[in-house]
Amino acid sequence: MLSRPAKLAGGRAAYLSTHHSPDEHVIALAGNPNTGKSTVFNALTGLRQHTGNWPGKTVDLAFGRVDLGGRRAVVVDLPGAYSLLACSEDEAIARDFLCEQGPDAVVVVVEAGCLERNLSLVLQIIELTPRVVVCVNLIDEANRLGMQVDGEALERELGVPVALTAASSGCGIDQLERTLADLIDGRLQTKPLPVAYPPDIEDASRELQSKLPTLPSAVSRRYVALRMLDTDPAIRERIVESIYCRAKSISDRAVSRIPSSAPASRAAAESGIDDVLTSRWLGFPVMLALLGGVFWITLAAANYPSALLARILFHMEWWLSVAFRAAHAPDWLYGAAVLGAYRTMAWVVSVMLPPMAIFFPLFTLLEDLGYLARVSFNMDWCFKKCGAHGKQSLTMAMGFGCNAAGVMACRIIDSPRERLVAILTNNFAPCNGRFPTLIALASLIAAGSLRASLLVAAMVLLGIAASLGMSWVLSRTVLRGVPSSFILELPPYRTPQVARVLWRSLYDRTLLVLRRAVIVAAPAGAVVWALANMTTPAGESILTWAARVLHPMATVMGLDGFILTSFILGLPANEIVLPILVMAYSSSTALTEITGLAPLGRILAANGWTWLTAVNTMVFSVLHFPCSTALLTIGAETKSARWTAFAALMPTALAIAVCCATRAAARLLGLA
Amino acid sequence: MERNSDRGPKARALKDLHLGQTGIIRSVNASGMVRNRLLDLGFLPGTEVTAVRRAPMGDPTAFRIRGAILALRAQDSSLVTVTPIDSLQMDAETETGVKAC
Repeated sequence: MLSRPAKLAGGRAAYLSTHHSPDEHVIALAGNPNTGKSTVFNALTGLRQHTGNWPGKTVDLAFGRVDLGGRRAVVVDLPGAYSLLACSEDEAIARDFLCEQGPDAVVVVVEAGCLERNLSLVLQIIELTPRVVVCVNLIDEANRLGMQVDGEALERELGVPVALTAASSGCGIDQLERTLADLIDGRLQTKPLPVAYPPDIEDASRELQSKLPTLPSAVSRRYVALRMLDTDPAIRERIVESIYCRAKSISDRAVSRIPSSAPASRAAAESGIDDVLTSRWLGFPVMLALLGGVFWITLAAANYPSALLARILFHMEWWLSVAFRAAHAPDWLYGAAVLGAYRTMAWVVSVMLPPMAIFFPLFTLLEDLGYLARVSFNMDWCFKKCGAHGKQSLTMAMGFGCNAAGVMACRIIDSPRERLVAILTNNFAPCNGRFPTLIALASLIAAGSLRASLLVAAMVLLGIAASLGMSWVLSRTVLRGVPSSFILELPPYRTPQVARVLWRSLYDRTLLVLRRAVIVAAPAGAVVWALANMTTPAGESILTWAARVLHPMATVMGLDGFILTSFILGLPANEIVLPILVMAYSSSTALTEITGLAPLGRILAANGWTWLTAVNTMVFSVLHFPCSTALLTIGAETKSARWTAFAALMPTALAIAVCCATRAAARLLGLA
Repeated sequence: MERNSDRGPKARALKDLHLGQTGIIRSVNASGMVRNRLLDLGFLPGTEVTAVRRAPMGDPTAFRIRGAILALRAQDSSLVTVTPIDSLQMDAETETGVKAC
């Protein structure tokens, strides 16, 4: 099985060659955003790709294999597209794939509850290729809303086979597979009924077709001729009108209302929920409460596994030490391997992993429910005022998971200026690697998990404010301009597949963090141990020397030299900042306990930490430079060394300024 | 509370529809990308569109069109002209008193 999403940056033609052998069939999965396309993909391939509930989410292509009664085929999940005409980057990818790769079959996934709009894409695709199966998904949802879709009527109207599915429960997938097998084997001949355009457009198209040169076999001549004609805005409007007119008449014939009162009450209930979640007075408070609630659950639930892991790993360190001594290993090897590499890894696993593994699925559930689209709707006004694109709230939300992913997601923003604004400010959304740091420090200075979660929420709000504020500054200085258009779809609420989301994210997160703990944290730990134990000619360790050099500046910022040094050494991954700091401190204070929050508190207190030090460390963590992975991604996405340098320097300058300001304010008020 | 009939079936910008009010699209006056995007999502002359909700800060506004709910910023929805039709679905209109257009 293969699951790696192919990167598009490295040339489009290359991706199929690396993913399928010539005797395999290629099936493309197309459809509007939010039609449950990814769920159909999962149901077909058994490959659990993450499903999102917001428009334009699938930016990279995902591949999977399906067995159609003995024939193997590669299924390609194309980015969600409303149309093949308009062309955001996502839509261009979908269109180019259909035109250039000439797949053996195209499954167009449509949402049963919104057939008319979805059919406009179907009508465009059957113009391009006849080998189409229409998969009417979410029929269960439509039924609940009082709508019944007549598959046979739809087949008659479109001239291509139709499968009715409810992919989340696997319903109808076998029929879809059978139809695909028949289509690929040629047992099923489709006769698509294309849209009839007004006579003058049809005439012009025929005339153009006769003058076109030879085209690749995958591309229909009519399609090319029409695309040449629709560069004229007036013709384009008439073409789109004809498509929608047809879509409406098909939908009117294929969809019937179930005469019953229950569905109406469900729609009303959904609308009632939205009235609260987006209301003038409750919209923002509910958002904050949910945010705080998510942190509270994370904080409270992470305690136990964290303590357990700490005990186990501490125990293992003891055994490791015994083994090293028994083998008469040299001190430097013991130090680098156990005190450096192992301890850092143990730290990341025990203190950092549990919050990450709990936060991520909670966030995914909110996303799958459709709530993030409402957050985007509520927040858009702020982004507009800051000269940013409305989708920036979505890319920022992705940044909470990982800033590198958030930066890459900025491809869903069409306008280059706003995309750059979104990329440069993504880092202010504290990623999963920084949450545990925030949570650990907040737990130390705020009594009780409720107050601690409020403090974490305040830090996240600081990040969001910084993101908005810097977008505002950028839009008025180096990236001057007005926001371009923005249309956001608010999908119906959908019950997330809770068990699957929990299991998948727990599993994925844990694996990811463990892998990073071995690949990044352990080597970094060994290096830092070396820095803490190799001495300069003056007799102090390199780490102490660096901390001493940085100390004056750090003092002004309400931090100390070791903290700044740890942030700099933590460039490869944010989750190792705190472990490095502990190591740096313990090398000078000779504390022997390793993991867990209580020893952390003692180590920090012994090194002169006050509440202000903790707050400023949190502030610096939220605002400082992106980690090296995020920086590399920014470099790849902007293709500019200058913007990448800017993306590192701008947040750092802001972090320094804010830390200096909080310290000055605290002193002025006599608080510290 | 004002009744729409006071103003008659005069064309107005989409952004000026009251919540709960339905209009028929007359024209899409945008150009370039915005225009193409609006057309693709079904904002075409003759289409029914209903204003369903406004974001907490008053912008954007969500519209029901062709079975989907789409949110548009005022700067974009001001480019679409509609003729309001009297809607029976007035329950949301209590809110419109706040924002007289």
